[in-house]
Amino acid sequence: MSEKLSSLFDNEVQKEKLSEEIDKLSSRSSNKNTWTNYQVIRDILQNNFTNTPNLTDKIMQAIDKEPTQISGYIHNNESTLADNPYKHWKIAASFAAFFIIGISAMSFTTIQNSQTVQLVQEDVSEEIIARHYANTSLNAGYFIQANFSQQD
Amino acid sequence: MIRNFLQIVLITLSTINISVAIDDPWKIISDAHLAAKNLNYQGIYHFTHNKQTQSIEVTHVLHESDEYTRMTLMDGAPGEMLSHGKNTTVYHSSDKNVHIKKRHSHNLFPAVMPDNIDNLKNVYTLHFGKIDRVADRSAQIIVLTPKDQYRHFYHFWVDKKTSLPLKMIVSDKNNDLIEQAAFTKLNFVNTHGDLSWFSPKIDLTKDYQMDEAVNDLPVQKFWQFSSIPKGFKEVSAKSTRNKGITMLSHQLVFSDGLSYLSVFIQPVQRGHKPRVGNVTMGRTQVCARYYNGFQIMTVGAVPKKTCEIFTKSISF
Repeated sequence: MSEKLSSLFDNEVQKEKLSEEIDKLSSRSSNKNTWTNYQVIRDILQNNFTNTPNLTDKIMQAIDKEPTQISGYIHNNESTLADNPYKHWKIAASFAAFFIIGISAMSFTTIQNSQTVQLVQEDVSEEIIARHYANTSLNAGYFIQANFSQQD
Repeated sequence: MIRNFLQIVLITLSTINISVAIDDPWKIISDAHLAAKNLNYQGIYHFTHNKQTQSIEVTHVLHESDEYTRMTLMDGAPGEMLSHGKNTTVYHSSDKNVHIKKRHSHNLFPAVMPDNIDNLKNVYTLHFGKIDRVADRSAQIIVLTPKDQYRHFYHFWVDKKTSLPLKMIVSDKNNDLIEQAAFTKLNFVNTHGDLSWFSPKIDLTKDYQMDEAVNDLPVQKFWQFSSIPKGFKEVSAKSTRNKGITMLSHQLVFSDGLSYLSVFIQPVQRGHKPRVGNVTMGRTQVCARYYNGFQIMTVGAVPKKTCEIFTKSISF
């Protein structure tokens, strides 16, 4: 069955049999998954993969580009506001940013040196090690597995 | 007369060759870099890190000036890496799914030599060792000895015929092994433009999921390093969003061309006690410091001293 699916995917099915083949294949639910997998793999290999647009991410990205005050230093994330045609949106985003910074400031605090704790092996998250080796490893094993260890 | 003339020409040419080799011993490193990029090869190598050894199958082809590489893990959980130019994708199987992730680039064995060797000349001394045999091929041993205490020793076995690195050992000043890679089987291939091998193994019993890459945000630097060891340069900087707060975390990667370390700058949240000091995990050094509301953490397979100096010298 997967061979037929593969032929259909590669446009190798004869035109007159196309409708019949699609009916046959779509009658089995498992084929839907296989079809989706083929599409994902093809799009990635052709570098065309795009996920569903995520509006939250886009809004948060806009907020991240707004000036943010960290530890007494102002970070001006955009060099020229005047050049930007979306500046009205940016002003609105700034209000949102200040609101969120206000909330986050409640969870961010200055700590005295006396409150620090000696580092032990358990404090070092797998994530931080994986993020390092995902960028720098000379070892294909580390490189392929990095960032995947915590998933299912 | 003609015979004498030819003899003189031959002697002159061989003298020039010898003098080039003596004048520029570092050419062997450049040749090894180019060989890993330009040759078509297929083989299996073993990689040892933290006392664990894994076998990896590699196929590399240069097709119409584009590099195609496929690496497959032969032991443990199935995994693959496919790289076309700067496009790198990894596939990793779990029990139910195959996770797919994009990566920016790779420095994987045998393509470990940097394209610019000038920096290496400043911080390492090059020595030629004996001729050895690796994967049934004759190889020249070369050793890069660090000029200071901030990096490890690199030993390479370079193929006599093609200059491809066949074996690599990274060791510390006590000659303890940090990591090792060595081909056990290697063939130089001619694919005649056939790229049908350049696709992942498909497991139809699993779902394929594209893992959303962590969004890399524009890096706004508010830090500086007062002193870092000679030869180390920033090769990448990334900022990512933290859950729950809008303040960003940052990862800076430094390298001298062979050694790599990451400096993480992360805001400390209420209820979290920042860590200080250092710890060794296998051959990986981790150093931590608390500074102005941020947890600084340096990670890398580098000497402890290097890890500490990066952690201490950051300020903002």
